[in-house]
Formats: sequence, C-alpha cells, structure tokens
Amino acid sequence: MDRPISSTRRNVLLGAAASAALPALLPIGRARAQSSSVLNIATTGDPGPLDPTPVTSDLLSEITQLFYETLYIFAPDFSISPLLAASLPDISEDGKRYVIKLRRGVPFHDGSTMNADDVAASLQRWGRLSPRGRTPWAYLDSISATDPLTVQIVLKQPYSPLVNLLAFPNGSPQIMPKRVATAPDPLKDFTGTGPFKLIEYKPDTWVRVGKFAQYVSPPGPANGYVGRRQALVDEVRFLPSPNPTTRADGLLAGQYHWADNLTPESYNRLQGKPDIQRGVLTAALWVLFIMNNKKGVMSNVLVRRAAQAAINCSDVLEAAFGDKSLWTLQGSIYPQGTAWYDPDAPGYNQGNSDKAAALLKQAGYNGEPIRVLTSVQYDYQYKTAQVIQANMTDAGFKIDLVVTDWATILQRRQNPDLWDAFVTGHGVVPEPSSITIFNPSYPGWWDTPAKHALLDAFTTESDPAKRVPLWHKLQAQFYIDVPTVKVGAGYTTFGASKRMSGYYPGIWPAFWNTKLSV
Amino acid sequence: MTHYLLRRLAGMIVVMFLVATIVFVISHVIPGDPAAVMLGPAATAADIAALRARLGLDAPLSVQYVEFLHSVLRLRLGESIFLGRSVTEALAERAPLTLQLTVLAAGLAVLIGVPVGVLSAVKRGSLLDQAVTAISMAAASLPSFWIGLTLIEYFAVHWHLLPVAGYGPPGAGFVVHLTYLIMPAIALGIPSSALIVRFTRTSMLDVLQEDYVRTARAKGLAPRTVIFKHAFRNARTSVLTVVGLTVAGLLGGAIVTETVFALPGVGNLVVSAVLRRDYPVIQGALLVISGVYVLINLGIDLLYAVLDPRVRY
Repeated sequence: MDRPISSTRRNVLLGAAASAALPALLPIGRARAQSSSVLNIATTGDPGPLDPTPVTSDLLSEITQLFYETLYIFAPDFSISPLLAASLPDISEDGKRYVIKLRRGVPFHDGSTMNADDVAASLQRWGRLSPRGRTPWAYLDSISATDPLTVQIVLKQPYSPLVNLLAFPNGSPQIMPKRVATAPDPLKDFTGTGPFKLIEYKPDTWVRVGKFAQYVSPPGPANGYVGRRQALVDEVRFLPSPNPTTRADGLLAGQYHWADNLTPESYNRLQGKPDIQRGVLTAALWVLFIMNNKKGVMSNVLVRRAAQAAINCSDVLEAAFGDKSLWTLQGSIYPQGTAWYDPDAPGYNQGNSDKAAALLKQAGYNGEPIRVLTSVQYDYQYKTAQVIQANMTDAGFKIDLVVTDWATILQRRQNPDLWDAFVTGHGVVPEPSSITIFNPSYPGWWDTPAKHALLDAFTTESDPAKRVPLWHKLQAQFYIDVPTVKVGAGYTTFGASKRMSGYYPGIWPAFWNTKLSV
Repeated sequence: MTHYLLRRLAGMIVVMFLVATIVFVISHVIPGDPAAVMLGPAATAADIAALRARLGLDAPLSVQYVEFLHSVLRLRLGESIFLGRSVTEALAERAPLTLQLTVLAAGLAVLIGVPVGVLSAVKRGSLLDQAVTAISMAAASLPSFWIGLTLIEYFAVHWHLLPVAGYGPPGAGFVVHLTYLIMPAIALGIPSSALIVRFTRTSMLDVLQEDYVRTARAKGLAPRTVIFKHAFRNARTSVLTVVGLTVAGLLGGAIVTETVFALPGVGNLVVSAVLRRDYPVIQGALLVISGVYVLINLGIDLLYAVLDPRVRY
C-alpha cells in the first residue's frame, strides 16, 4: 500500500528542487545560457576618455581599434599594409612628398562615406594632439586633398618613419569624419569606419561596441591585423576588472570569455581546465633597465657598462615571468622574424660580477648609492628590480631600491636629480625611431653625437632597404653607449574560453573575425 | 534640542573646512602628476608640461586652493581631470551602488552581530559562548579582500551560484543588480559583524550583572522579557555607538571590496583617482565621505535621545 510522503521528506525534495533551479534563476545561470552574440572581455582597468589620438595607452588601443581604423597597418612581420589606403604611398625621390590613394566606398558609422577631406582633417588633428604625431608634423609643409580619394602630404625635410607611424594604431591618426576631427576638444563623437561601432561607454562599468552592419572590409585573407575583418558577434563588452585573480576567476566561472595580463599564479590556475585555452600575446614586452645618462653616477659610461656586465638576464627573466615559455633571452632590440632583427649584441647577458667590479674600479666608483625606481603595481617590474639589485650588489654597487606607485615614478623620472635608474617595460613598436629611449628628451636622455648622427641618417633615409643597415649601426651604438640594459623579452599571458575562435592575440588583442560558439 | 542641533551643524562646518584643507594639501603634496599618467609612459617632459598648462595644473597651489574652496562653497566639486566631467556627476552615478552595498553589509553585520552577541552574553561560559568568541575573533582578523576572493572561489567558480564581479549586464533590473552585491556585502559585513558581536556581548554582560536585572528575574519575569525589555534596552546605547562607527567605517572598507569585485562604486572611483592623481575626484570624494561620516555620527547622537529618556540636549 502506498504511504503518503511525509512533510519532512516533501520539504527536503522541494529544497533540492529549488537548489537545482537556483543557477537558472540567478543571473550567472542566465549568463551561461546566453546566446553566442556577446563577447565579454575582462580588462585591467577602465580605459578613460575614448579619444585614442592624444594618449598611448595600450588598453585604449585594444578597444578603439574595433571602431577606428588607420590608413595603414602592420603585419606580424612588421611590414606595412594598406588598411583605409588603397595601396602603399607614392613617395617622391627626395622623400618629401607622399601621395596616398584611398579605398573607394568606405562608410563611416554615421552613414557618410570617407573621402580625402576627412583623412586630411584627421591627420591634422593627429599632428596637433598626438605625442607620436607632433614630431613628423613639425616637418609638415602642407597637407591637402588633391581629389576626393587622394591625399598629398608635403614635408619640409624627409622623415622616413612617417608611413610606419601612420600604420601604428597607438596614439595614431584614427580616421574620422572631417566634422568630428575639426570639432572642439574633447572628442565627443566616436564615429569611425571599423567593423564595430561604439554603443556605450560607462566609466568603471563597461565599453560596449556593436556590429556595424555596413562595414566594408579591406581585401585579402586575414593575417594578424592585415586583411579581412568581420564582426562575427553582435556585441563586444570590455569589462574593467583590475584584480588579476578576479579576472582569472571570471574566466573560470564563465562570466568572461577573455582575460589577459594575468600573474604567473593566475595563469597556472588555468592549466588543464577543459573550457579554457591559455596562451601568450604574439609580441613580447621588452624589459628595460633604463639608466640616467644625463646626471649622477650612471652618466659615466663605464659605470653603465659595469651594470650591464653584472646583470644576469636569465635570472631576472625567470624571476619576473616564471616558466621558460613565458620569456626569451633577446639581445637584439627587435625579435627574430622582423626586418630589424640583429643578433649582434656584444655585452648582453653576462652575469659577470668580477668584470663588473673591475669596470667599477676603472670608473672610480666610490660606493655612491644608486637610486633605482620601481613599482609593485607591475609585478614583473618589481621582481626585475629585485634581482638586478642582487646582481649589482654582488658586483659592488650600492643599490637603493625606491619602491613607489607608478604615478610617482612617471613624475620623478622627469627630474634627473631624483634617480639613477628605473625599470620599465616597452611594447613592440613597428618603427624603431619610436622606441622611447631613442628620443633624447625621454628620461634616460641618451644623446651622444654618434647616436644623434645615426638617428638623423636613419629618419631621413627613405629607401626601406637602406634603412636596415642604418638600424644595425644604431643597435651597435646602443651596445657601445649602453644607455639602457635590455634585459630580454617577456610575454603577456591570456586565457580564453574554448568557445572563442578567430581572435588575433597581437600586441593589442583583436576581436574582429571572432566567433563565439554556443 | 534645536540649540544643540545648531551647535553641531556649526561644528560640522568647521570640521568640513578642515577636512577640505587637509585633503587638498595631501593630494597635492604626494608625488605624481596626473598629466604624466594621462599621456602614458611615452610622453616627454614637453608633452606633460603642455597638458598641465591646458588643465590649469601649473597655477600656484594657493590659487588652486582658493578656487577649490570657492567651488566647494558653491557646492561644486570641480571637474575630473581624467574623466572630463563634473565630480558631482561622477559621484552621483556611483553613489547608489556604494549605498546599496553599505546598507546590505550594515544590515548583515547588525542582524548577525546583535543577536549573536546577546545570545553569547546570556549563555556566558557555555560551549556556544566559547565558539562565538573564537569565531568572532577569527572573523574580525580576516581581511575583507581575502574573504571576498574565497567567496568567489567557491560560490562563483566552483558552484556557479553567484557572479564573480561587476554589477550586472545592461538593462538588468534592481533584483539582478542585488545578486551581484551578495558576495561583496558578505565580505564587507563579516568583519564588522564580528566587532558588533564582541561589543554587544560586553555591553550585555555589564548590564546583566545590574541589580535591576536581578530584581526582574526575582520577580519571576520570563527570561525573554528580562533580556530584551530590561537588559538589552539599557545596553543598546553602547551597542548603537559601535554600530554607528562600524557602519561609517564600511564606507572605507567598500574601497577594497569594490576593487576586488570590480564594482563601479565610489570606492573604486577613489582608488582609480588616487592611482591617476585625479585631484578633483580625490578631493570631492573624500569630502563627501567625510560629510557622510559626520552626519552618521550626528544621527547616532540624536538617536541616543530617542532611545534613552535620560539623555536631553
């Protein structure tokens, strides 16, 4: 005979049913059941104002490259390809006149069609506002739209990095309608030509970009940033998540589809997870120990060479990045596979404290404290500074490690009286003259007559084939003057949902051509 | 009472003026340059100097101070260097979330702290009392960010019951937003509840030893009546003090919690502002938080008069 179910047992069964239903009722349950139309990208923080021209923030470039495009773009081997331009520019023999033909029928997000007036106005804005644009624009003689699809730039003197700078989507001339480019600052209208358009920016909450249905892709197969671009999801959301552990947790929980700039510990947590794929961004960060060439103890080249001799780059990189797959010993300033690669790096990675001590004696070093600025805000920089401190102390240096936040370092390093060295990371730039330490005004202040002459020759030589040997000479001078010790290259790690495919893990991860399976 | 209120409000004005001055001085004295942060590491000294001039940061400090006080008197907190919009707007956008988080955390802290503290005092010396003492000491010692990360690990990553971070997708309703606040509220409320447990227990123990409580028991009153009508009623003013201080302190605690859980609240705004040296936001946010702190204290003091008839202003 059937017995009626007891109230206790009924309550237990109801509770179990409610618990089973709970995930579906709570937002996380709904999120996981969501369609494949929204890509959630965890970022290291809020990007701030979305105008990409005046600032060189990598996060801003990663986001704005989805709705803005440049005239040119660079391929994985750093060669230049047209993007909004129809072809590479015609450059006059004297290197002063550039004629740029534009692609026909490229729509802006506001429905208008890009023409030469828009491009000329955008370039003028770039020259006015961008730290990368100000240098070439100091040589500008004129810029004009000679016909609706042709822009002509005339310089007062040759400046060969110009095309590379036009291909660099960081502090770059993003092309916008003339009415936007000539409007008063700050930028309020973010109309561009990209495969996505801006939906909403809510500070500290999200940046949302949505598919631009009328987008016209550049031709050719997709190859990194070059070639075909398609918006294959309806929306990409960039969600600030400053804590790296939280970013990794969000990926593991399925709330984020992508998270990068992970600490070694967070990266290791993702290993072996069935839903997650791990990797590194294609372009490694250059780890630099920049020395004060202008004032103080480090202004003596023998002391700088002693520092270079003392530093054991393998030890530093292992401490900073962990597993060997996440770093590379690299004396060449540029990596293998690029036109600028040069394996000749005398003095790189010696780890020789005896030689360093001998150089210090020769320099007349009397134990003056060497103030090294570093910050715990960037874990790899702090660890780099700690190991360098140990290496240099072994050689007889007296190191004073000054640990502050990044904003303090940015301010202090402008004053040559306040520091002797600092640690930093440098992103890969396709144009060698854009490397910060080659700018004599950049903290470090490397500006010898030999370097000055070589850099002048490099930036005024228009023939790309002739620029390469000039670059080799510049690198050789770098290893003679030792203004900075290049420690090596470290990779930025990422984790991605296995539902994601088609993304390009470049310097600025690109999410066009990216699909999200259900 | 009116006279007392007026005196307190006058005192508040003096306090807020001092806070404004201290905040201004501290934010400008600490090293770091907002222009350098905005432009990024590739900027040269010339770029930075040009931006400083454009933003008015090259004016003498005394001029900037006077302008700052002038705008505060007009109830304007200036414009964010980094966000390019008014500080008042930025705070107003973020305040509801921080308020919700603080109220939830405070509610949790009080709902756990007071009853458990009372129970622990009543059952003094028992196994329950010893367990409560041990747990509350441990909970008071745990940093809220550790609690937060542990909650995320289990409730979000392993069991998929709650979201990891953020404040909900676009268009989400109030209820959905609240689910994103459950773990942050627990992380923020637990250490505070532990403090309230300890103070409530101590206050109750003091009162339970009083003669009138012994008399109440001797009269044969029910234990519940003795505890709540006679003992707790007299202990509650001390409890109220620590509850008020704890709730005000939650505003500061929200800073860490909002960072861990990526919540776009006032705390997160303050952290970003400090890292970027966004002076107007630092000054404005700290002024507002101080003002709230002072108002909470005033409210607690006024509540004494309501709860304790012997208190007259």
